[in-house]
Amino acid sequence: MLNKVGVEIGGTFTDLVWAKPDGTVVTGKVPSTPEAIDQAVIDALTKAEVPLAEIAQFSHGSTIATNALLTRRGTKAGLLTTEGFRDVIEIGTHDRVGSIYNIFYRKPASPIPRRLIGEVSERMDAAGRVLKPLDLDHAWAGVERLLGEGVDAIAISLLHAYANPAHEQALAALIAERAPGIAVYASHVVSPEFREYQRSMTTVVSAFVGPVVGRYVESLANRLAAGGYTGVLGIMQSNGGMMPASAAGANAARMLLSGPAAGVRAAIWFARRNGLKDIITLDMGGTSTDVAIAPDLTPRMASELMVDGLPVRTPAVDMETVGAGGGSIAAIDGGGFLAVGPASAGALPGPACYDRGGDRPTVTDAQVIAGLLRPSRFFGGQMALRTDLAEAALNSLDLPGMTTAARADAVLRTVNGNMAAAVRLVSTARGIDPRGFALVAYGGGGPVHGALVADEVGIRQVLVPWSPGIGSAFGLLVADVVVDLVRTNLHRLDDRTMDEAAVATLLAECRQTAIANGLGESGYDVQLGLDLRYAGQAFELTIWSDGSPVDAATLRGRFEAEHRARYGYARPQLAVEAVNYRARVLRRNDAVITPPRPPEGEAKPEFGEISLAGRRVKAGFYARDAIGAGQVIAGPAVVEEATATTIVPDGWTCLCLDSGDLLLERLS
Amino acid sequence: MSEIDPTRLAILARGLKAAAEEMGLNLIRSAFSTVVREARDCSAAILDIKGQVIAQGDVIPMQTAAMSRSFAACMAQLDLSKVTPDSAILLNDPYSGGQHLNDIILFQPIFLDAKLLGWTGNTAHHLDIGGGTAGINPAAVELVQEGLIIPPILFEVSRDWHGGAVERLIFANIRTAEIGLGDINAQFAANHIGIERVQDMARREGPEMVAAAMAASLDYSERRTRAAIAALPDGCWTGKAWFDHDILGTEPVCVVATVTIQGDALTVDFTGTTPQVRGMFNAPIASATSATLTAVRSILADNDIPANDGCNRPITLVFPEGSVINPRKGAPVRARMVAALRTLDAVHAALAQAAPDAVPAQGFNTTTALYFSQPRGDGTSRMYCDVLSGGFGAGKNYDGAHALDHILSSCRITPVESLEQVETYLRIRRFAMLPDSGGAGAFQGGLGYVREYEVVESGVLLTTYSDHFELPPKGAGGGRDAALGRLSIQRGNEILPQPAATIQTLQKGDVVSIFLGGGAGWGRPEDRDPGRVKSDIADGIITPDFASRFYDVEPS
Repeated sequence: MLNKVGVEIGGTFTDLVWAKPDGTVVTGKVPSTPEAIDQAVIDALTKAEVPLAEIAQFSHGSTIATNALLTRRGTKAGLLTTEGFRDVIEIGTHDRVGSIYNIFYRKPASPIPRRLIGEVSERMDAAGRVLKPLDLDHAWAGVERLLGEGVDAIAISLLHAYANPAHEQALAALIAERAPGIAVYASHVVSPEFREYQRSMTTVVSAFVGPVVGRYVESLANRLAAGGYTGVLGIMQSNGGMMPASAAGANAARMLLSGPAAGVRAAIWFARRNGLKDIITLDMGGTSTDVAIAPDLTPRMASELMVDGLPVRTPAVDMETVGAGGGSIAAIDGGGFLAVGPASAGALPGPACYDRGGDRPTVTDAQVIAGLLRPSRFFGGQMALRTDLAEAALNSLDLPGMTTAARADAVLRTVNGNMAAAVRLVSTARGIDPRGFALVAYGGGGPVHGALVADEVGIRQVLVPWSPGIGSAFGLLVADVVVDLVRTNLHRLDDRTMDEAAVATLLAECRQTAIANGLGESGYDVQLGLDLRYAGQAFELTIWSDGSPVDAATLRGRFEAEHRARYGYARPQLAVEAVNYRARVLRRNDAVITPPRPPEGEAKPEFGEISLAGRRVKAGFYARDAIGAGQVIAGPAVVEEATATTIVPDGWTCLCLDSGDLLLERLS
Repeated sequence: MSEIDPTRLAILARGLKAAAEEMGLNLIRSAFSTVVREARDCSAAILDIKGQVIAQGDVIPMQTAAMSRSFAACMAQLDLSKVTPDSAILLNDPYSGGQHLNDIILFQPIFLDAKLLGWTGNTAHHLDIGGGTAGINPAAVELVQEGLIIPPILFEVSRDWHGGAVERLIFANIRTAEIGLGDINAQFAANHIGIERVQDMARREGPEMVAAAMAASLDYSERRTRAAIAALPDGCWTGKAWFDHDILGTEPVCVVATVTIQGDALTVDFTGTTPQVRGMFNAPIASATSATLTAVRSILADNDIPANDGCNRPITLVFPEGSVINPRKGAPVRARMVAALRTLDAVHAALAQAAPDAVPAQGFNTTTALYFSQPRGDGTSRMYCDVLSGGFGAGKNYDGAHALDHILSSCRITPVESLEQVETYLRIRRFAMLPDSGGAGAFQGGLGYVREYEVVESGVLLTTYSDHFELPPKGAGGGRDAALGRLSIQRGNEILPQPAATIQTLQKGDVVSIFLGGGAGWGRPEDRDPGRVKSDIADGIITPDFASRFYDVEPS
């Protein structure tokens, strides 16, 4: 057994999880340090007294890439495009996203201003044939102009480069030779798929945040090495897998939204150890709730993320995010409906009951008034909550004739409704019935709402894992190493599409990737995917297989089953096209980790009153660390621990599993 | 029901809205034509049993009013008492609440057991609907010359579709039947999503609760709309807007809007508007209604109000019969977007007098449709359509957005790489913003753009319509007008200028260039922040020459 450490930097707190050789687990929490972001990592290690020299695996998740993009504080980067297409990223999709009735619409700000976008003389056609050769002298003049502006990174995105990268390669080689200090990001490497806006923007975002991420990761690796760490620094990606730090600078776009993906990875680990098969994850934090689905413990993936209005093509755990966090603000809208979120009081000023200057009613305030959070026990008793301020904030809502308790109840039901809508979006809206799934509830607020949301959507089991407040950090310990590849190759689906030769080509590419990512020549698994659509459609569905050859009829059958589930119909008379090949190189994490077992005996409750669904009821309050294995608690009940509270509603029971995780089940 | 829980109603109302959104997204993602799947010229809605739109997927504002008007026509013309779960209604007739013939509307009932809960409906713009010319028939002087007219028809899906009489009759009249059938099957599938969602809700909550949530949705949007109107000053103002001319005329066509605000209610009377025109530039009443409602809504402080028929209750509209925005039955309407957009501009011109800071200067506000078609010699055609727009008008503290679809629409542009993969007879030479095309002002109009198509095969027909080739978007508060649009064909060394609406047989090697204009400026140019002028020069948004003409900057 080996020492393994995961450190996750979040917006407010940085969490540490340390799995010791004896299988036991140590956790830690320190404030994040936005001004010198890697300091929090060192703080967490120091506080937990981690012996870096004895650590075999150090895994890290960070918001560095996301923050650099959101604040537009990346590096000064330029872009080279095909002549005539300078404005691909400025024109974008030409539609309004969000409010379609906004006549003062502003497009999301491009990370690269128009003055740093140059054109080069060249042109490929859709089949990758050269229509106009690349004029290298002309191109170099454009590069020199960008260098004169002081860029330290250059993105290259030429039309149809996914079909033939020769011109991008020649341009990249030219820059490497004549301006060796400049970081070059070529679209055929970063995102070798068609649709020029998405490919260009992904390349631009990579160039913009890549050097920042590269420097950060290098600095952190050096500090860890100085502390005695001799292993590979693993960096979490949005696909829920790790990559080595050495790959992070070139693949910075893969880190956007890695935190929620790590949480899903942890949820899967906990579900697996308790024998659950199909899960939906509910991760409720301070400002939002992330919901994902993992049938057969395999999370559904998306191939594109929207970050601050910008499309970034990178494989990511498919997630719905709703503005439903503990700090989400309740308000009466212009039509008289109570609405909760997306505005949030965040960590500062925070909910009114925190007594940090917030006076708007939040979800946390409603939880306090409903009696779900006991003011003296919050955060393990380290932070007293003020009920009077929560009450005043709720009473400021313009709801004539409603008692404070009724207001709190309305806020909680509204936020449950919003979360239930997100659960439906990842399940019913994708052709999956959620009722046979278990909900895995974590994050600070997930276990408060888990069973209530489950009730809304007809789910009958809720798993509350050990220490649910540190889900993302735990995910770092148990994540696999995963590298995703994609290549556009548009053609009619036939038996050669995934025959032995095609598979061999893909496997060879995977092998190169595995070596480049430090996985060696063996000891990894491969999954192959194919993006398919009916000829004439613009959106594809990805069909995965295990890396053996598959004939066209089988592929078609799988595609049509998926199409029927997703869109409600299939059309056997139409031709099917293959659009992209995908591949996933994966090394399984073999970590054996044993979070603390539950104690012997049974916890005894204290009794208090809580409000649930409009009724005031007597509930038992239990300390989680006193609940024994096999103990069954009947709802209504409240289970308290330092970083989370679990609500067991009326009609539900809570069983403490041998693992120490809690399984909530609906009685009828 | 005695006591209805308002929190529950609000949750269910949001659920209905989410279901309509899901219908719209599914339609886009599974559709076949670029018009629907990329340009997203479609919409989806859930209606109550009376045919009132309860919830709508926000895709295209232009479709806001279409659905309930069309359903009203269905109720007037059809016996709906014997509807079963297997029933469906199709229509596209602009004189039965439709927009133009290309927009096919499909309604289907929502039943739980034997109880009718409401209807789902959606509209998709079909690439071809028959008619005199592939694409656009610029010569049409009658509706019937624009294509197949489908009045509201009630049929049984299992018997009449899937190779049945209705399907066969319709698609015998369409040049791109395969794509059209793909799109209409996506329409059926989208309706099914809505049906399932409402059924689920009724099973969970009971049909009475769903009916109550539908009523609450209408009341809710009405309250929000009234509150937003009440925030505007009371009074009466008249505004005007013009388009260049009908394709068969030469005189500018004027839309006159007189807006009266009284408390939380608003009336728009279009008396004084130019009579209907001979050619395809008329807008049917559904289009003019959508345009007016969108015009009002877009300048309200609260413009995220869920769109449904409740929003329309505080608003009274008067369209003079026989005018260009309420033509008599039978008049052609193919290019109805242009008159609809001037309807919007006229309402804005009136409202700008009431609330100058809430209304921007005129944007390019024009749908430019370009169709390229190539007959295959077997009665069918290959066909490709781009739906283009221009720059947004500037407003207080707002430089107009560049190259963005106008407010009545929200069409995506087809990626060049997708286009060239599929439409192998076309190649895009240039797709770029046009410096100096926005109007100068304290706040500057957004830029227009150019798209150049090289035709690499013979036998391709071009049909188009557009506007603002003669009358530019007008500046406000001292802001300057924006650049005009133009269209040309380069054949060898010759440049052949074209009118906004045209039909041309292209030769191999021709290059078609469409120049879309910008939005107009807002406020006096001399009040513009000099820092912004310098920054725009550096970014190539304006040239130094433009800067010295309008902004009086020192040469550097």
